[in-house]
Amino acid sequence: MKMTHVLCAVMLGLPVVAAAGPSPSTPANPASKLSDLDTQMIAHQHAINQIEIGMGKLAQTNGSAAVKKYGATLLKDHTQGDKDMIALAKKKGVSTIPADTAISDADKKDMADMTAKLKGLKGAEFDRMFLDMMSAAHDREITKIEADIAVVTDADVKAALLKTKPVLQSHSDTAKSLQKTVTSSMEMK
Amino acid sequence: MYKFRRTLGASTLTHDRVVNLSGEVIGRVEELMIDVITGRIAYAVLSFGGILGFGGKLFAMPWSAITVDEARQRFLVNVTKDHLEKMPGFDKDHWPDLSDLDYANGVYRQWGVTPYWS
Repeated sequence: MKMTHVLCAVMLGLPVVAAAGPSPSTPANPASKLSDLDTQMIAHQHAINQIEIGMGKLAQTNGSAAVKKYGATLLKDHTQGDKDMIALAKKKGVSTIPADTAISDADKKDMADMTAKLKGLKGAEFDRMFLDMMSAAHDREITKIEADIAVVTDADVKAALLKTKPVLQSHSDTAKSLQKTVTSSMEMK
Repeated sequence: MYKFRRTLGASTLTHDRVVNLSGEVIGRVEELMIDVITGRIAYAVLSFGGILGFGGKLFAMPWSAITVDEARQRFLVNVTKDHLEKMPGFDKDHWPDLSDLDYANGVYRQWGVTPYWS
């Protein structure tokens, strides 16, 4: 149904505007069988996978033994998750997953700043900041994926999101249980 | 049957979803900040946008601008996503302290509600 509306808009020469996301001017992929919103959900998950692969590698170099192991899990799960997302995109005729809809320039800058901070830390100090970040980050993404699952239109994208959710949940749970074993993370806000 | 409760534990409310009147999930509540002098909730912290905790914005929301939908474990707020994109949030390393009255009044004005201290 959604595609029909989009096609009608194209035929009438009306501007096709993405339903959400910071950059609504992204051109619709002509071969895509997905709505812009569903494509953005894939783009978001793809971007998360890419970031988590980087985070997993960083944890393996800078963390303590337990956090190194957590990093390896992040790396493994998100490498697999990304393979699945890319295959799904291909299946749906999305030749290039739009990267700019998922990460704004402000997000990129914040990520660069935080990553630089993390890179300067080692062992227990690294663990503390990394686990605080990962715990909150996964919880926020679980809220987002639940919201996406509620409104996604394509059945395959929905299935992929439903498969991803418990993975994010387990990463959140592991971060929280590891937080208890490292120094207390209470800070003044 | 569902029974409305007047009091709820803060920890049961934090991390709940925030939904606008169009039913869109706009983010979640990260924290409830207590006015330690009066014992009232100074503001709820809404996180909006960003990816994997990077970027995004934080907003101080007056309690009077929020409706608690306890049955569905979510908050209802009258704000559009477009508005949040444009509205200035606060820096995650500098959470606002409402003892700065100019700032505090500005926050409440932004959400169109009267400050509880006035």
